[in-house]
Amino acid sequence: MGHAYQAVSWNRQKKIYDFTLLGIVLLTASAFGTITALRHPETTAETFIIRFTAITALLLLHVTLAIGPLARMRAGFLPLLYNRRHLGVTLAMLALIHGIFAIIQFHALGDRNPLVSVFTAYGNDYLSPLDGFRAISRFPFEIFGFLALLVLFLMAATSHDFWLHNLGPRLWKRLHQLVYVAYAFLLAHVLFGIVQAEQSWVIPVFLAIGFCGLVVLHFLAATKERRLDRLLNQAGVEGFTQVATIRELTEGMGKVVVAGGVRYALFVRNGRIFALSNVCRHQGGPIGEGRIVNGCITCPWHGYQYKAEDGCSPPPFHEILETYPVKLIGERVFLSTRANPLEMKSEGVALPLAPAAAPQAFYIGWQAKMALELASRLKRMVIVSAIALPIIVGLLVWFQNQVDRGHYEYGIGKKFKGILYEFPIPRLRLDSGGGETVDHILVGAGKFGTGSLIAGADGHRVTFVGSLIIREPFRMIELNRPDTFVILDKDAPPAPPPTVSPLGEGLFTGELVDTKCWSGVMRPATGKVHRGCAIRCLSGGVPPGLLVRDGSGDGMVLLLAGGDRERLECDFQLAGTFIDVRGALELNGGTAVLRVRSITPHRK
Amino acid sequence: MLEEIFGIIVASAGVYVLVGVLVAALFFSRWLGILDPAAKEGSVGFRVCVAPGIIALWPWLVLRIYRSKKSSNGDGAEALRRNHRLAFICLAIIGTVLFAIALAGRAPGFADLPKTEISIP
Repeated sequence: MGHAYQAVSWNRQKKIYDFTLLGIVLLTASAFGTITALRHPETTAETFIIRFTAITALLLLHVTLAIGPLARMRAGFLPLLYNRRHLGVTLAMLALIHGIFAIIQFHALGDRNPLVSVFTAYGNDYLSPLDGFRAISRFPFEIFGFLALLVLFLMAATSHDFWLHNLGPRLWKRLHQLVYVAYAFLLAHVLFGIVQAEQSWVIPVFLAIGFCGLVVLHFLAATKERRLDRLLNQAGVEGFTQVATIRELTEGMGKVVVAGGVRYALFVRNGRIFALSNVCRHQGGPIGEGRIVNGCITCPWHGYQYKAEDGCSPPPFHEILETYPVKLIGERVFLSTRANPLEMKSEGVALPLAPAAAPQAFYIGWQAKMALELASRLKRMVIVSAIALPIIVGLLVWFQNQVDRGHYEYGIGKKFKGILYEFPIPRLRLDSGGGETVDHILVGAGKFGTGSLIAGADGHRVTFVGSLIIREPFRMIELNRPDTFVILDKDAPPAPPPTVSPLGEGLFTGELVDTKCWSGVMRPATGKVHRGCAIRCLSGGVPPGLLVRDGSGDGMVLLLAGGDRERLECDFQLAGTFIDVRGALELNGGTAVLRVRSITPHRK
Repeated sequence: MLEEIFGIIVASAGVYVLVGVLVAALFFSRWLGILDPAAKEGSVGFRVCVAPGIIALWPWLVLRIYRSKKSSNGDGAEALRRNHRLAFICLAIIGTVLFAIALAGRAPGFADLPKTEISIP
């Protein structure tokens, strides 16, 4: 480098690349939004953002990882490689948005530091593999996502040429090869996360296609490379090794040759052969696959240029490539692996017959226009991507589990007045007119129950401002304005407790849920992806519920409670999993309450 | 116990980031030209772009400035190629194992639960 750094050294090709990328991301967002609105209209905005950013980032990561081997096999893909780091930064930003929203949605506003909760909400399940093969699906998936995000962030943060120059190409490349580690973490994050939560096979099938596609592409590219590495060098004279014949060389084009297990670049310029290092000083691109453009050897990856005579970049740049002595004996080209002194001018070796370069399209990112042939091929690729990506996203959304229903009057404060019952579940009994009463379960703001706020108000008339949460037959009030809570008849004797009708005793199997999210605050509010949030809510005092399949196969929630005026003893880390509850079911003032005797994990 | 351990890790990460912010401020005000003369004239946008990296890699940066070590050139391409090959072979194996474990041990869904015959008036 030899000029002051800019945020982005814009040129026409980069602008086209970035606008195309932005267009595809927006198109994908539109497809995601449309299918979500049609198929899962109950989805909340936060869930939309979390899912859209996750799916798009994962798709872009597959595209990013595919570009390398594709460009190794077909030069037509080199334009995608030119600005690949913007693709990488875009996917890292999407992943960051996904991570931030997921941490806020599932772990914030609770009784623990959200960053600690991400790793520890169901920390017992780090040991789940010890419980047998089937229990592995309980293993926390969040930690994998966090580690992947860390690597992607580090790569995005060091993507600027400043870092490439100061870390050095070797260290920079090694750092950016960590993308494979990030991909492995993401696979684990998805496989132990959404794949366990969703029943559809569409997600694992698409993921497997993406994974297998990448493996095959890398294998094919590696096979091509291996073929080159296996080239047999013939020992020559005076430390020179035969690497090619003149019939393999073309004026204006490079050729990658191997000597002593190392690759070198041979170029023919103005009828003379020159040998240089095959490794571009910029990002290690294969110089020998480049061309001579405007009299300079030009790297096919990002268009970095070097003079054939001395390996120096033209001013104002300072990069230098090693040059190597070449000999010609008959038609055979020999190369010495001992480099010339740096910057030494070499005359090269005159070639008796120098065929001209075939007029093939060669892409250089910093040139204003690309060859027509390449441009039309790229247009086809962009059109295919612009159709394929939204279709893939649409299918993934279409086959997702049905999102939970519910209605949460977020930010709408209403004044309530009624009789408060603290046990077994905090409830407010409201007059609905005509002597009818309706019970509303009470919860606090965020991921909290009512806590000590309602202590001493059992059986008394109270008033407060709160927000309604409704998922029939459940009605809930979020007591989010504690300053408005007033006991109206403090000195009057408390009202008699609600009537209790026993409904039977038995073993009930279902998912342990937090009733606040299930009633409509979160959509979806069940399954593994919501598990961290459910644990925080239950640990914060939100009444627990058991989501069972009723006779018609639909979901029904039974409120879980301990003995009379006793707190329910339960391992809340079981939230989001199936449990067996033994207890007595009762109708407590119109609310189905299961008085728990024992809770055990469901083992089948 | 686990919460305490992660609490310490998160707090340490917070301190690390905070020191990184201070180093970034020092870097932009004093050290920019020492490390890389081309960076001294860098635009504001450039500084915004590299700041997250400085915050993330500040110990390396401090060491570099202290030792004034030159960056490595592009040698070691063969080693990088080997690393690349090894990384992908590992990924292919690990990915396959992950798929096998996660799909074979896939959690049952709500529809797999036994029905509960309850009649609530």
